[in-house]
Amino acid sequence: MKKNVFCGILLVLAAVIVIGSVTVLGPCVHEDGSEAPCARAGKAVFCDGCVLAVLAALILLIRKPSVRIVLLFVTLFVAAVGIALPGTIFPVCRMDTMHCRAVMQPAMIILFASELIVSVCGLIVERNRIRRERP
Amino acid sequence: MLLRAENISRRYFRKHGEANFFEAVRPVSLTLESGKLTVLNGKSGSGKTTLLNMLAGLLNPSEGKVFLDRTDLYALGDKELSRLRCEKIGVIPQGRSAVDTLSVYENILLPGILYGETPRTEEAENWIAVLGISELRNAMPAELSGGELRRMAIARTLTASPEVILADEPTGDLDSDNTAIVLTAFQQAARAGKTVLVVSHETDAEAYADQIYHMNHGMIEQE
Amino acid sequence: MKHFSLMIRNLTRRPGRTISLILLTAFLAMSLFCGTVVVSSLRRGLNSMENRLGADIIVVPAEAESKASMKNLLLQGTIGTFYMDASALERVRETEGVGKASAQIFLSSMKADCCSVKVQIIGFDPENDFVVQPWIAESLNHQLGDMEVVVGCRVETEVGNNFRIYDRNCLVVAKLASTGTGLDTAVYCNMNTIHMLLQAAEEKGISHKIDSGNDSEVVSAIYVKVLPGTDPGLVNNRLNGHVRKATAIRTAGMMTEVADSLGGVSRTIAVLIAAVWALSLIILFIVFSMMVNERRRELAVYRLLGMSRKMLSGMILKETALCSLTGALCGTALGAILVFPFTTLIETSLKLPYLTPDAGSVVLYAGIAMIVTVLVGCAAGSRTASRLSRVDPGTTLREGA
Repeated sequence: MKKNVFCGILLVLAAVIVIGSVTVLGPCVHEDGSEAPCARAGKAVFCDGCVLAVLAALILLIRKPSVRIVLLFVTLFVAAVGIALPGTIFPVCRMDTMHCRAVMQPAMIILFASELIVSVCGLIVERNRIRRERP
Repeated sequence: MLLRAENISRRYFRKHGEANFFEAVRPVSLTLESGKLTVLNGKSGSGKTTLLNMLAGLLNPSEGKVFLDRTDLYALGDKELSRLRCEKIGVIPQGRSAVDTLSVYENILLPGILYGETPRTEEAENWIAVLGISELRNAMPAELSGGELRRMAIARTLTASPEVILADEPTGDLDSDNTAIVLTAFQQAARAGKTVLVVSHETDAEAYADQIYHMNHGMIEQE
Repeated sequence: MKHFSLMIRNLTRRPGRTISLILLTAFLAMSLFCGTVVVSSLRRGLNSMENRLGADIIVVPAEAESKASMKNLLLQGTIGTFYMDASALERVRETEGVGKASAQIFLSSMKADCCSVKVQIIGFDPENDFVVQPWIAESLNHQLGDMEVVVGCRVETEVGNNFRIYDRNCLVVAKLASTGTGLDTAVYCNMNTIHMLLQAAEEKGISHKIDSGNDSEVVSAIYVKVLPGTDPGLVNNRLNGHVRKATAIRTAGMMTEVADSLGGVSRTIAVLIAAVWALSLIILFIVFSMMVNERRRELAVYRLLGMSRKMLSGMILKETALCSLTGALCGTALGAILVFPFTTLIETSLKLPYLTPDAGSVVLYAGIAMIVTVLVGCAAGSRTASRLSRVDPGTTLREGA
């Protein structure tokens, strides 16, 4: 039950990242239709979110503890990369009143950081479960 | 230790019925001596539990006094009486008496830690083994049967080793083997100098008793 | 196992009840903290704007949009480009009651290389300016030279960098402190520089001449400080009569409008906080009431084993305090996550001056939110603690025997 709660949270967070990155939490949109400097950051966030969603679904479905632990570690790493995506790895617009700076960047950092924290909690729970079940 | 009741009685107010008051226990005088196992029997509703609760310092008598040696229990404040009960009087109540958020082992050690004393782990291990609940030490009370809970409550009281042991229907949920083990333990406690009262409507306990009282409609008589 | 361990076990082995209490107190703390920070930021922004304006009256071109543009420029940094004849400055100076008058020229860039959007460029005369110059002097120790610019705190560039506007390179010599107003997104230069940039804009086909067609110099706004003891309202009326094709706006009036808006927002926030608190307190009382029945047997056992009423109510209160403290910490942390990373979003949504408090004030607000939440949580739980400590072990344990 506990492990499914963590997986569920990971999946929900990933879904928010994916849907958010193409809607209200997405990059700037220029009136003339040209690509904003933050467009690539937006796409990268979307891809990272998709990867996290797939990982969360796999963790939910797979029962073997060792595989789940590996997947949680991968989730942790992908979430850590996600934190650095907008602004560090991919540039965002320079004026801080722009949508990408005011909304996308802080929201995505918070969401990826939450993914990271939940995956750490999931790892601890999974490790304790394995220790308890060990003969 | 001498536990002495002087003309204690207990009346309850009745909203409905023929009379305004119901007398659960009529004026009773009773002396429980150390080194003796006393059995109090009687039918359900005869007032046994009410009498036991008054003797234990849990229920203020409508009239009369209860003395533990020379200490008038009901003249004490709540703080002093509670501490006295923790240290000197062990009660095994009729109903379920486990703290559900603690394991069996933690429940057994509980009386010893309420006032910051060192947990009596050796005694706890001994009584867990004697009463046959060793495999249940880490289980939670919700996972136990009625008989197992009863044995846990008995182990708790015996571990604390108070001077006075008051047991209300301690063998109610137990099979004959465990009944014998429990009553033997009470008898041994009495032989060791403790004051033991067993309230029961079953006859098994009478074989272990040094004195027997019979209760009927709130009145007591010695057999 | 000590009393504290007993308490922790009671809390951790009833996760549903414990988490409910923590969540409720977290909501309380979060709403209080967020509301306090937002209202405080609005007040600081208003004070900052009042300090930065410096002038009693602002004279702008007569077109109706100019007044609104001026206000939007100050509040939100919305680009404003409006012009009137430079002779208006002399007429303003001649008006009775005018103490000081200083002109500014506004220009918008196409796209500066700092930014993906246009920025507001404001030219001023360092010799006689009393609005911007004192503020710039805090960050720059010499007078602004030609092709040198000072940028607001929100312009994404650093001191020493080149700033390219209309293909002209300007040197960034200072970056201003935050004001919480629209001026944080502006770029400041002297009159020579702005005239060169106006010329450069003309070369790009962007005209800034006024409609009269005269090849005269232009100004965008004239800031006026009245003589001491003079009624600004009177001077305002004189200016409206004396200066053609221009409108005089009293800054006090503008500030009053902003203050009224701020008051409205503050009241809304206060109502929201009150609603959250009322709902949370009702649910808190319900949870505590349910706890009375749920824990009656458990606490009867403690009483049976010799725990005094005082110890029992103390244990319940400590459990409540621990839950409330945990909730208060989580709520305040969550509130900080909501309010501080999204400062810009809040500011642009409210369209009011917004200046976040300093670290010391934030810590104070967090501390107050947590203390109030813990006290309220404990107060809500105290009645339950008192009721539960009076449980009759004999009767309670016999129920369901």
